[in-house]
Amino acid sequence: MIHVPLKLAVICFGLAACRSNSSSFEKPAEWPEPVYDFSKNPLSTEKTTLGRALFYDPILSADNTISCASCHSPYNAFTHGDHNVSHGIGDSTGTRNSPPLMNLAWHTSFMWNGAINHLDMQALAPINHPDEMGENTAHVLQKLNASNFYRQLFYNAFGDSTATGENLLKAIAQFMVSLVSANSKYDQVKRNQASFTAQEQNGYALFTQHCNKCHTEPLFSNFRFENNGLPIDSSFNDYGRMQITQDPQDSLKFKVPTLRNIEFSFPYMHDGRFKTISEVLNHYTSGIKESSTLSPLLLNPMVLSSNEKVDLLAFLLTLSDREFLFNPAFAYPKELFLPAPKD
Amino acid sequence: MIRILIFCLSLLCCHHLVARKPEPEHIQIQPVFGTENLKLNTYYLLNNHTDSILIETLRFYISGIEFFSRGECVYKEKNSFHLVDLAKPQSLNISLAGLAGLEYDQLTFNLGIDSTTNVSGAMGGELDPSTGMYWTWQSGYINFKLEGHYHSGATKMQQFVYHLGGYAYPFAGIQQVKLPCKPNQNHILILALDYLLQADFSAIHPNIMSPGAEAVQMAKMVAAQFSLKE
Repeated sequence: MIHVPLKLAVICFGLAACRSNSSSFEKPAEWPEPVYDFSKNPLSTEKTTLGRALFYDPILSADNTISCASCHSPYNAFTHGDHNVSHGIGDSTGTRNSPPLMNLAWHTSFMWNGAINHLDMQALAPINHPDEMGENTAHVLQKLNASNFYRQLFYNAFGDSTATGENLLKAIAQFMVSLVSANSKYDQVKRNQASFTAQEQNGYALFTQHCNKCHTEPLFSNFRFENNGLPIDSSFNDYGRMQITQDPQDSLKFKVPTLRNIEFSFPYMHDGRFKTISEVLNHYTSGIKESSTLSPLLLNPMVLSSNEKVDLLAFLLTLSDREFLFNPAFAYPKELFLPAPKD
Repeated sequence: MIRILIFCLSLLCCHHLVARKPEPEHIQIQPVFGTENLKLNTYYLLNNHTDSILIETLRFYISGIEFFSRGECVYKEKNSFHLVDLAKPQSLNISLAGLAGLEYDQLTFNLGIDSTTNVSGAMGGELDPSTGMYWTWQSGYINFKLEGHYHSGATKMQQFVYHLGGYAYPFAGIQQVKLPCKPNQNHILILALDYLLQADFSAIHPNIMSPGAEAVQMAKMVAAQFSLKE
């Protein structure tokens, strides 16, 4: 929990002065319309600020040790680097690698198995999961309502200092929806602001031939659920989408992840079993395990020479968006949490 | 003196006007076990006269309250979402502004929350996810929550936990209840739980905590236990 009187004063007199600063969501040109319904949660600077504070504050966990950012680090494209499956409170481990967070306004469902149907509701899952934050929503609200720091931020955002479940979730959703990555080299090429090298261009052609039907441009996912031929890990027995639909036809299907910022979002797959992009490419050329629910697009093995794999990798690296990854507006809000530097 | 007389007359007029304004009608929800009004954390003897049951939690959503006259809707409650909690007596009383004076012959309501609301993001008030009536491991409201335990013989105890929900095909759990109903100042809506908890179903399925065929089956059984005490 954060109690910094000086910071509180800054928030009170700074943000309150510009209360209800509505902001609009800027859709990159040529992108589809976002799925998120902004009319039910109109954007404002104050709500995004509150959401950002909550995202980085371990107050959301039972022992105040784990924040959203613990498993969604900006420098790892908002996923959990260095661990195959993410770990939470008390070093508990789950069964999946946390998905990267970006361009969430276009997602139609959330989590690897699509368990969550709306971005607003996503934060409930990690907050209440015993292996993630180990909290319960009502107790989080008690902690927030006992904090003058948060009472002021809630007032700035919603005109009411009382934290409610609705406002807690809407604020976190506002921060998450602001995480737009649309300025990679790929994007610049599409805007005629840059050019692919010959190698990247060849990689793009291979991508279009082999990958684009699931990792569909410009978001690099079709947001559907597919079985991509991974043998099941018997230590997790994770059957993916079937857990939610109870339909055997959904066995071993997982949500297609975006490839944007793939350079930084390692390890890969729902259980983080591959540490490098090369391992991923080798899986698609020689590691596919056939089963009744395997994606029809993978029935025929992908044939790529070593040089072609390098070219494809070169293209995938053009999806890195350093402006997004190192955007101070998305980073730890030290201006809120840390004492102001003395001049 | 005249001023006092006029003042008294105006008071009488006001009183007359107030008295003419109809009082809002209510639905008073009354869970029962057999012939007794249900109380939490109280033992109730089952029909076999040896086992008993204790209920710790009874919470459920009633939504979409409507009254019909000869098949035509004459009253539709706005923003009709009510979280009924036996631990909170005030939640058992639903006040229906604007219903008094209308003629009707049927009450309908839903046990649970509709699918559109389930997919519309964070809601407030009775629908706030912090009420504990929203799943966190997957999206969706818990329409009906019943928790307690059986005592079988002297010591044996079996816990039961029913969290009934689900909004998506083919396991949508919302149930519509239709009851014949006459105009009344205070409708007593009975929810009888004795049949439900003595049925073989509950012995076979002591825990239902996720959407599915069993949850739908039990939701239908719960919905069938509502009646109006006229």
